[in-house]
Amino acid sequence: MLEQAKGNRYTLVITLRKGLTPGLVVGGIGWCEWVFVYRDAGWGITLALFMSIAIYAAVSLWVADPRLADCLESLVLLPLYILFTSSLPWFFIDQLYLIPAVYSLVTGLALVHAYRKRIDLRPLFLVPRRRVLQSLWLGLALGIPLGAVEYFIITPTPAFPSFGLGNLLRDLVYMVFFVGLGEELLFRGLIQRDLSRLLGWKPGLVLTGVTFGIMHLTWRSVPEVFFTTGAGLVFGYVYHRTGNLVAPVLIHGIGNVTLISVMPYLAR
Amino acid sequence: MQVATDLRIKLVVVWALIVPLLAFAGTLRSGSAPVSLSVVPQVPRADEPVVATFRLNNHAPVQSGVDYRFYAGGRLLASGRAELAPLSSKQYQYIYDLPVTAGERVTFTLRCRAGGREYIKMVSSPPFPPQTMSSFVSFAAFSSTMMSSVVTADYYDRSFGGRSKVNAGLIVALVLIALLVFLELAGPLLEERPMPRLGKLARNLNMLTWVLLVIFAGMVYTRIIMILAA
Repeated sequence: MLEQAKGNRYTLVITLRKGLTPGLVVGGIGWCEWVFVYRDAGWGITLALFMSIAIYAAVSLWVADPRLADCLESLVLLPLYILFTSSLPWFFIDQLYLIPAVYSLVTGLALVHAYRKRIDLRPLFLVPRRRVLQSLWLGLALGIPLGAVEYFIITPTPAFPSFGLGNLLRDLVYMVFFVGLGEELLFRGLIQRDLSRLLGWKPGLVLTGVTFGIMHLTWRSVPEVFFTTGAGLVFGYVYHRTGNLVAPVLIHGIGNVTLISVMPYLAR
Repeated sequence: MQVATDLRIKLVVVWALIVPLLAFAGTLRSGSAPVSLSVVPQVPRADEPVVATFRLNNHAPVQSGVDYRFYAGGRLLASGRAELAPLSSKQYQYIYDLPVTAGERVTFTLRCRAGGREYIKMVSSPPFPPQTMSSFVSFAAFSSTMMSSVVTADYYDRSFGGRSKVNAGLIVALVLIALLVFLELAGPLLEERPMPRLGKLARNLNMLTWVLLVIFAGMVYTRIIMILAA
C-alpha cells in the first residue's frame, strides 16, 4: 500500500517535471492571447511573433528530449495561428467566404507541420465504414447538446428571419470541413498527440483542453473559456478512445451548427 | 509508400492554399454584383444610430428589375422591387436606432434577386463587439477561436498602420528581414560542414519566415490598394 502510494507520488512528480516546459509555453500563449484581446492587438501580435522565435530557438538549440521537442513544435503552431488569423487583411474577403479562407490556411499550417515532422495522418482519418456511422451518431449525440448549452452562454442572434435549410447546409459544410477539421487536426491530431506521448494520456488531455479553452479568450467571456475547456476535454477524450479524428470533427462541427444555425431560431 | 503519402499531403496543402485565393477571387467577382451594403459607424457608440446603406446596381445596357429584402438581426426591415434604368443604380438608407447593448451584435443582411440569380450581402455591426464576439453570427460565432475584430479594415489599420501602441507591421517587416539575412548566412555555413543545431534552427525558422512573408505580402497589397483608392 505504502509502496503504491510512493510510486504514485513519484509518477506525479515526474509528470509535473516533464509538464513544466509545455505548461510554461501554454501559459505564455495564454498571456499572449490575453494581451491581444484585452490590452493591445499590436502588442499581442508582437508577443506571438517573438514567442514563436523563442520556442523555435529553444527547440533547436537546447531541448534534447525529442518528445519534448515534438510537443513544443506542435505548441508553436498556436502563436503562428494567432499571427495568421490576426495579421492578414481579411477584410478584403466577403464574409460569406471567410470561414473557408481562414480555416483552410489553419489546416494548411497543421498539414505543413505534419509533413515536416513525417507524421502519418492516415490513421486519423481512415476508419472502417461502420465506424463512420458510429462517429456520426456520436457527433449528433454529443454535438447537439454541446451546441445547445453553448448557445445559452454566448446567445448568438439569427442572421435570417427564419430557419433556412440552405443556410444550415452551408454552415454544416463550413463547420465540419473547415472549422472542425482545422481545429481538431491542430489541437487533437497534433498537440494532444504529442503532449500525451510526453506526459501520458490524462495530463496530455487536460493540458490540451486548457490550451483549447485559452485560445477562446478571444470571446472575452469567462464562462465561455470554461465551457470550451470542457468541450476540449470531451473532444480529446473521444479522440483518445476512438484513435481518430472523425468523431471529434463531427461533434465539433455539429455543435457549432447547432449553436449558430438551429438554436437562435428555436430559442426565439 | 512514404513518397505517395508526402505527395498526398503536398496536394492537400496546395488545395488549402488555393481556397483563400478562390475566396478572394469570389469576393472580387461579387464586387461587380448588382448589390453592395455598408454600415456606418463600424463600431456603434452609445445613443448613436447605425446607418445601413445598400445600393442596387444595374451594369447591363437594358432596364432591369431587382427584388430585394433587407434584414437587421434576422428581422425584415424592408422589401420591394426596384426598376433600374440601364447602367444606373439606386441607393437606400436605413437608420437602425435600437440600442445595441454591450456584447450585442447586429447582422445586416441584404438578399436580392436579379436576372434569375440570388445575391446575399451580410455586414455585422460592431465588427468587434465591445464585450464579446457573442452575437457575431455571420462569421465568428461559428469560428470558435478567431476574433471577429481581426476581419475589419479599422483593426488592420490600427495594428499595421502605426495607430497602435506598437507598430506590428514594422516589427513583422524587421523580423522578416532579420530572418532572411540569417537564412542567407546560415545556408553556406551548413553546406561547408554539418551543424545539426544550426541546421535545425534554420529549418524551423524557415517555416516562420514563410508565414511572415505571406503576412508581408498582405501588408504590401493593402498599402497598394489604399494608395490606389486615395
